[in-house]
This record gives sequence, structure tokens and C-alpha cells, in this order.
Amino acid sequence: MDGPLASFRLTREPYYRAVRDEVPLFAAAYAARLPLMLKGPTGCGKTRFVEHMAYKLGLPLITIACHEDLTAGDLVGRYLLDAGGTRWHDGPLTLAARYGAICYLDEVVEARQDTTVVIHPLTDTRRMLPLDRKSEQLEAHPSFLLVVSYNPGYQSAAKELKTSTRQRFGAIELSYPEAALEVEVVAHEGGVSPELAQRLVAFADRTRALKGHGLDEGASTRMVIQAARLIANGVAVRAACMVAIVAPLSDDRDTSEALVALLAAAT
Amino acid sequence: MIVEFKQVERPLALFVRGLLGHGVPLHCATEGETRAFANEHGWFFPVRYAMYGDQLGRDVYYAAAAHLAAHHRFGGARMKRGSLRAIQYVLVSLFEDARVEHALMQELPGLRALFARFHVAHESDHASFPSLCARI
Repeated sequence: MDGPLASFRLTREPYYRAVRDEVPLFAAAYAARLPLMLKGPTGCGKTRFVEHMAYKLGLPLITIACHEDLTAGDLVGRYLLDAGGTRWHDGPLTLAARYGAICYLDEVVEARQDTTVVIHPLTDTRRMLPLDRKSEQLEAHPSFLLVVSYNPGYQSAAKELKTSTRQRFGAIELSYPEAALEVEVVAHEGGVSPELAQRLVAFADRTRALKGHGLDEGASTRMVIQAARLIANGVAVRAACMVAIVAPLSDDRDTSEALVALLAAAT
Repeated sequence: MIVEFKQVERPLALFVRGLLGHGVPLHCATEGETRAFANEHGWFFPVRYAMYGDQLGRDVYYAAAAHLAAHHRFGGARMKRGSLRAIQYVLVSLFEDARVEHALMQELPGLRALFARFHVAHESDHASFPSLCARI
């Protein structure tokens, strides 16, 4: 039944712990086919949340990592020359719309605005995707949903969603989980004890106090999990935190010195 | 090489913010001041710690900041001397220093190694009140 979408179907339930009421909100938005925008800091679980919801709703998930070289043709599709001649190949957006999947544009603000406007006809009552080069007006499959994500924290003026794009979406704000929940997530995903996870989360929390003071963002949950995985694989705690958290966070000498001192104090 | 406060001021301020979750104004004390202290205007640090140099000269500022943070987190209002004799006041202050540092070390066990570098007592020290305090 899936045909071209078979490889995009998740076979195992992705682990996810709800931070607030984002799960029922997403389900309600899907029931209304309301396109969704997920906003939150890097590494807080936006992508994992989408994967979890795709599995829960029984839908294939097509993910597109947006970047500034992404073109409308990359999203929609193009004619390609193969052994059989010139043939149309659906892009990932068209695949999702044609056969009924969640299409997830990750870090949508990284794409140019003249690229992202191609999604407009899919996000209003038309639910259509014009394939001009194919002379086709594709009506979106009833199961199709468009989801985008971005980190509102450190966008430049050049990387903002147009108002005409932004207002087509409902938005769910995600954030790092509160401490007790983050400890659970880190212990589970990192393969470490809750006691060690608690120490790692406490250290991450101290780095988050530096947001806007030397750091654009403190350590993400993803970074903490990566540190935990290193520890689970035999790396010493301090070394794991240096590799997974401290070193990637900043190149500024003073900020790095402060982070190293905080790590030494915490471990 | 002797380290001066202005060389560590910025990372030290970030360190304090990470310890407490908020910033505290840090200042350079007047020349001649040998100990860090806190008042309503913020925290004051010596221009330099003349007995320490190189990395130790930087670490002593972090130890001093951590000590002030311990008082900030776990200390109460500044104790009045009242009718305490000088030696009693010194000992009570010493015990309070140890108490708040111990409390902060429960959250930040790595501070033990940092503090230990500067809480130094030797068996060969002459029997005196200062050496008793150092050993305590």
C-alpha cells in the first residue's frame, strides 16, 4: 500500500517523553490537517518528537534538512535523464503530498525564502502543489501533513520566515525538559545511571545560565546524551563532557575557560 | 608569572554566573587588599595574589569566587561580633567557612580539589593559632 513510501515508515516507536501537552496538540492539529511549526532551541527534541508522532499516527515521515542551497526543484522534483530517457522524479515534498506522509522541513529558516514559498499552496485550504514543469496540479493526499521546525533563538535578519509563510502554520513551542524529566531522558538515551545523568544535567544547566553571556545557547539535551554515551562507552566523565559539551559550545577563550572551570567544579 | 584580576575578570564572571545561575558584579579591590570579600556593591578581588603565579595564580581567583559563592548560597546574614572575643570570632568564622564550602561541595564535588590547593597545613608548622586554623 505504501509503494514509494515504504522506506519512510518508522518500524520502531521512537523514545520520547512529553515536556508539556505537545502530543495531544500535535494529534489535534493533524486531525484538522493544520500545518505545524515546531519552535525550540537546538537539540531539545523537535525532530524526535516528529518521529514519535509519525509512528503514533501510523504515517510515513519524509524529512528534509533545509540549507541555503536548497531549491524549489529539490523539494518538488525535476526531470532527470536515465537509461529510459527523460523522466519526471518526484521530490520529497511531492512524494509526501502525493502518497500521504508527514513532510518535515527541519531548520526551515536555513532555506531561502524564495524556496520555501513553494509550500504555500499546500498550507492553505487548497492543499495543492502545482507541478508547473509537469503541467500537473497535485491535490494532496488526505493523510498528508506539513511540519517545519526552527530555532528562534539565534536567527539573523536574513534568515526569517516571511509573514505570509509563518501565518499559515500553527506553532508548538518546545524547550529543554525540566530537570527530573531530562535526567530520565539522558539516562535512557545515554545508557547511564540516573545518578550520573543527574550530574550531567546539572552541569548542562549551569552552561545554560551563560545564554546571552558568552553563549548563544547552553548545552542542549542532545549534547548531554552524547556525553552520556561516551561515558557508557568507557570514557572518563570529565573527558566525555569536554568532547561532547565544552569544546563544541564555544571558541571564545574566556568562555571556554569558564566552562572548563565549571566542569572541573562539577566533576 | 603573577596573574592580575583584570586578566581573569571575564571568565571569572562567567564562572560565577554558572555557579549561581545569575551574575554578580565583580570588582578589583584596592591595592594592598589580600583577600576577596563581598558587600552590597558586589564581590571584590585582590589586584593580584602575590604568592601564587601562573596557573595557580588563575586558580586562586576561581577558588575565591567559589568560596564567595558558597557563602552566597548557604550563608546567612553577616554575623555580628557582639560580645565574642576576637579568637572566638575567628574560630566561628572558620567553622562557617568550612560549613558553607562543605555544602557547596555536595553539589560540586570537583571544588574539593580546587579548595585543597589553597587550604594548606604542614606538620612542621609551629604550634600557633594560625597553624591550628590552617589544620582545621
